[in-house]
Amino acid sequence: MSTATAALLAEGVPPMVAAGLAEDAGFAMVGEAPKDGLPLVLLLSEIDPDRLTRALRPPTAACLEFAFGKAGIGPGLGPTLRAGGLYLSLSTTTAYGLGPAHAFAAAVAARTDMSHAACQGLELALHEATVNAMLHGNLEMPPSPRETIEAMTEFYRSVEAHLADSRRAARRVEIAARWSRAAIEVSVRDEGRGFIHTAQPAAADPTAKSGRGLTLIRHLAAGVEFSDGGRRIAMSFAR
Amino acid sequence: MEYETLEKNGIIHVTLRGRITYADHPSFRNVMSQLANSSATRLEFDLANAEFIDSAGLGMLLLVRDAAAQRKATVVLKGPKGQVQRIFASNRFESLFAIQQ
Repeated sequence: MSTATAALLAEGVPPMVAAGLAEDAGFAMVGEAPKDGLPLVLLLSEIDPDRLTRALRPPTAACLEFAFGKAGIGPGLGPTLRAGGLYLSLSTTTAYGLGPAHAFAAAVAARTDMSHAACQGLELALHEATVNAMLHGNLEMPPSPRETIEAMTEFYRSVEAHLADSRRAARRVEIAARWSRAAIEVSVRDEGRGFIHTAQPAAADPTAKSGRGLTLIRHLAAGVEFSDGGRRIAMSFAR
Repeated sequence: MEYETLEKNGIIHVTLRGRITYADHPSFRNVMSQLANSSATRLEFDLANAEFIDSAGLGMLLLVRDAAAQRKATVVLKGPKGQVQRIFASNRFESLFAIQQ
C-alpha cells in the first residue's frame, strides 16, 4: 500500500482485530520485518518488563499495548513516526505495574548514545512524569499530602480502588521521544481532565513527603513545557 | 526493590537492593512496624545496591525519619551511589539524615 504510513506487526491480538486497527490507522500489516522502509509499529498484549525491553529495540518505532479492546493510538504517534523517534502507548493498569520509564529511557539512550548518568537523569524525570500522568491524570487522584504513614497507606489503597475502575484504568499513558543533534525531547500525555500548572513551583519544603515530582523534573530537565490543558508534559534534555 | 532487615544490638539494619519506587510502600510500612515493635535506637539503611529512587521513595525515607524521631532513634543512610546519591544531594538529604559512604 503506497499510502501506508507504518507497518503494523501484531502479537497476541486477534488477526481480524489487528487488521481492522491497521486499516483504520492507515498502516500496512506485516508478518515479520519492516516493509519497504516503513516505520515498524508493534501491537502487543500482555507486556512484562522483559517483553517491553525487547519490543523497544530497533527497528521498532512504536509499541502499542492492545488493552481494553483498543490499540491506544494517541495524538503523538503520527508526529513521532514522522520525526523518526520512539513511541509507547500503555493502559494505566499496565503502566502502573511495569514502570516503563526504565526500559524507555534505555531504548532512547541506546539510539542517541547518551552517557549512563544522562540516561539516569532522563529516566527519573520520565518516571516522575509518568507517575503524575497515571495517578493525577488518568486516575484523577487529587494531590493530597501524604505526610504520615496512615495517609500514605490510604493514598495507595485509593489508587488500587481507582485502578479497579476500568473506565479510568483503560486510559492511556503516551510516551514519545524525538531527538536532534542538540537535544532529546521526551513527552508524556495522559487522558485525564488536565490541570493548570503554576509558572514556578512553590518554595519546596525539604521535609515534604509528597508532591516532589514536578520539582525533580524541573531539576533534571533543561526545559519543561505543558500543553493540552496540562495533560501533556514535554521535557527537553541537552545532548 | 528487594529488602532484608536484621536487628542486632539495638540497631535495625535494612538492606535495600534495586529500584526504590512507589510500588515499595508496603515494604517501608513493614520496616516502620518493625521499628515500632522494637527497642532499637538506630536504623541503618544499606543503599550500596540501590540503583534508583523516585520521589515516592524519598518521601518514604522521610516517613521513616519521622517515625524514628518519635522514638528518639537515629536514621543513617549508608553507601548511596550514582543517581541515588545525586538525588539525595539535590534534595538536601545531608541536612536531614546522617549519610555515610
